Amino acid sequence: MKLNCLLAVAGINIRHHFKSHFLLALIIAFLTPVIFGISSLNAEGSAQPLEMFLSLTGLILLTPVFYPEQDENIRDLIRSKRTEHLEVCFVRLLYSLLALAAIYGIFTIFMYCSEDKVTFRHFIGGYSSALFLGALGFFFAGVCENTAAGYMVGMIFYISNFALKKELKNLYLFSMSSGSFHEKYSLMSVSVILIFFTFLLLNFRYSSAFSPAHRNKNIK
Amino acid sequence: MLFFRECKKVIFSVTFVIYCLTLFIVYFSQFQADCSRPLEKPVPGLESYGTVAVEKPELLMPAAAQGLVDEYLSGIFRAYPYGFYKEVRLTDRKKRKLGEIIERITGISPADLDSFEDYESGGYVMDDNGVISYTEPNIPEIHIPDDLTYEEFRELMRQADSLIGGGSRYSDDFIVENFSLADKTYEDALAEYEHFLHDDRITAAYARLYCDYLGIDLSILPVFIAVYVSERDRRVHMEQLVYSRKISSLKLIFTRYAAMVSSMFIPVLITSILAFFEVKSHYPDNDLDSTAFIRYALFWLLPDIMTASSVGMLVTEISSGLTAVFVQGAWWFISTIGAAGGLTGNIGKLTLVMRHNSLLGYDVFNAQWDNIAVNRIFFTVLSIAAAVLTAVIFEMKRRGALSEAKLSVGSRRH
Amino acid sequence: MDNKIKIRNADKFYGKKQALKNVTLTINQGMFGLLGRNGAGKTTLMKCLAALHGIEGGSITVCGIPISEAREIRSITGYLPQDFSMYPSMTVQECLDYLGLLSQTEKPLREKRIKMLLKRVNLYEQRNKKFGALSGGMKRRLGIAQALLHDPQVLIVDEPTAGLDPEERIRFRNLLCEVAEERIVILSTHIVGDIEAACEKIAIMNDGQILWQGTVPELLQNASGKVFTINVNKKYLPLIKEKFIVTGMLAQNEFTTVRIISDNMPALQGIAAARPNVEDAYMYCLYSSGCDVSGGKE
Repeated sequence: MKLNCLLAVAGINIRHHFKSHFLLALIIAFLTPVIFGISSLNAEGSAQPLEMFLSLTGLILLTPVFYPEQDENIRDLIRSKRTEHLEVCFVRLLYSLLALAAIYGIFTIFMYCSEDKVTFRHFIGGYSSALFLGALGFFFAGVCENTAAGYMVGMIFYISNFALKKELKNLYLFSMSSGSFHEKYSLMSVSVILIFFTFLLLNFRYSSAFSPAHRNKNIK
Repeated sequence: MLFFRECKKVIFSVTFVIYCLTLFIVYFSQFQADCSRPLEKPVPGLESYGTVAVEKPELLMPAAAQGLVDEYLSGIFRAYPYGFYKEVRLTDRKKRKLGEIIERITGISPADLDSFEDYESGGYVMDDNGVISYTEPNIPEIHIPDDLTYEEFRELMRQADSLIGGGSRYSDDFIVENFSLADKTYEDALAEYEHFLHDDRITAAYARLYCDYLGIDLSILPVFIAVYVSERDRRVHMEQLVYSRKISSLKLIFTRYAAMVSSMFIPVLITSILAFFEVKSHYPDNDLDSTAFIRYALFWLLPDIMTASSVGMLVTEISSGLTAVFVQGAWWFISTIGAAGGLTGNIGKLTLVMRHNSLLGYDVFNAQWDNIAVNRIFFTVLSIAAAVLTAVIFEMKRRGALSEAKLSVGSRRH
Repeated sequence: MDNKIKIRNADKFYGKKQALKNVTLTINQGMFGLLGRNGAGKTTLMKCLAALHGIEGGSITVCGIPISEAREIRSITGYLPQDFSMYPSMTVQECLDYLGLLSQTEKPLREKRIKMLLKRVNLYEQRNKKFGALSGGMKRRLGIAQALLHDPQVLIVDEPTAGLDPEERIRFRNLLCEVAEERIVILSTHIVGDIEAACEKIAIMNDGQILWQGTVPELLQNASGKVFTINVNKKYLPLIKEKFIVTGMLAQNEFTTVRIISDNMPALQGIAAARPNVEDAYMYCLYSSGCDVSGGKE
């Protein structure tokens, strides 16, 4: 597809499907300084708001990528057009990832200006946690064709991080708050793999015999 | 029958499978893990039987003053304003004001404090072998002035807390458990154990622990299932069909609600039975209260399920499923992670997620019985009211008084 | 260019359930009707034609393009799903613009065609109305407009008249007929009247199979001499229903005129041969193919 077409698709999608989620993510971002102190923090202290709260914005922004077409009939209609449905989803994912980066970027700069000991590492570390939560939601929402399930799994994972630090090992979201960064590499790579597999799986599902219409039939 | 059809709809959904899995994981990893070691009878002659928070001015005042001086000198104040740990640093103006408070409660002037050079912070440290030890901070010697009453002291502490921004160790919520800990005696420990054996008949104590763990998840997970079920009609375009059926909205919504809540209660029922036998296996010779788990599950957990489900249905009907998830999510967040109540006790009349993460504390729990009863009845009534409201809105949509577009435009304007 | 849809021995499974069984069909330019009960496989076949589903066996080509070339297929077909639905927050104009964009129609052409189609389907006045606020008939008209937006060679419409009032249904059929003058239009329905009024050629589907295909007169011809009417007392109705396939009943006082299908004229008093209508012929077709139609028609 041509670039100007892609941009037009992105624009319409942002206007109709993204605005409200972005607004919610912003509310979370504005609440963060209220819940956490964000002035004059040390390195670990600075990581806390980024990992423990702002990361929810990832779940909010990435999970609903498939939501507009959760209705079988809308999805069939959109899929009957020349542009691949997954291409549209990919566009949505891209701008969601950018928006997430923007939120994290601005927040990190804001913390830097509040004399916190934040570095670029904090940005990357926080972003990876948010990305992982988002990718988890994205994966389950896509594979189960059910956005509620995506949010559910993301939320359960987030909650379990408060209790299961040891068990989660390299997927522990709040590692930077206790001074460890190497978990971020696994979070990052697993996120990329999850997103990749979601597309792979859906592409397979759409192009092959196994189709969601099957379930639809049973219901009727 | 409609009820069973709705049950089937709930049970055969991905969200329900995730729900069950989560409950079983929580049950096995948290509750069952805590069950593995039976509670032992305290033996006389031990060095310590733990501590208990009791409000004793003669204990509290010097300890709190010492804590405040310690944090003043270190420059970092520990606080949990919204449940999260926050290290607070004060501006010069606030620090000056705090200096005045310290001068009033200790007689040491800010100038003397600032010129104190041998400061070392105190606190708990863990050495390489995992042994935790406590070191006293090295701070100037403190004398509480004789003319300072306890009431005035607490008031000054409140001021200090608000300077720090709330949620500090000097706040009303935390000051007693931080600075007024008395050692438990053998008799205290024995009395608690007797309560455990004879009043709780063991299982009731375990049932509280069980409800504590499961309640956290049951106050949020049902919302996802409710959203799924409510949105599902729209997805498969049953809406027109459902709307035209000759069944009253109230009956339809309540059948659906009842089906949802009963289906979600099934795994709770199963785990509560498992829990009973688990406890029984550890206390084979004791007199157990065999209905405790079921009673607690019905009384403590069912209102959680009902509330989260009805919020899910109502908000989905008014706005959208996503909004419902966020509303319940925010509420849950404030009630658990953001709660200042701590892991045991402090159950308010409007606390959604009740916590009691201990096998002991029969007294603490029963002292708040009035609050707890009001709390659970309140949420039960609230959830039924929300379901009725859902039915009313559903009926209005059915009659065409409210269309999707009208609702969405309306909600955007507000 | 090959202006035909060719379906050869197509098989399609949903898990273990076979939705299409060895379907072979050729569809030429004009209006083609696909008739069958709910669940006969019509929707599946149409989704396959729109390249939304793949098939496991056989082959389908649309204007010479195999359906595995989904992108090519989608650029020459317009598809109107059974329940046409769109994002409720978009206006009529925005819906069309977005769908046109997805069809990769250039902006100037898109705008021109949107205006033209909105006028043609009589929605121009409502172009700023939100999709969520449209009536069923309006939605269906918007649906046909979106399907025609990129000027496809093939138009696939699934149960387009279900849920429309009689007036809307007639208008909608006429619109389809106009459109069919220059392209292939495939229409699926379980409403026999639609077929009678609009389609030159039809196929009858049941249980994933094509039972019969041909023209409407041929279908009627098949059933000629197999349809009878009889005037019976109401108390004998259960007996009649048990013995014969009943396609129509008209009650007058205690007597009822019943239309029945039978291979031979039954030896009953007062029975008369009748001219079959399309409904009778359809029922006869199902009956003669061994389908269970005793439960009456839907």
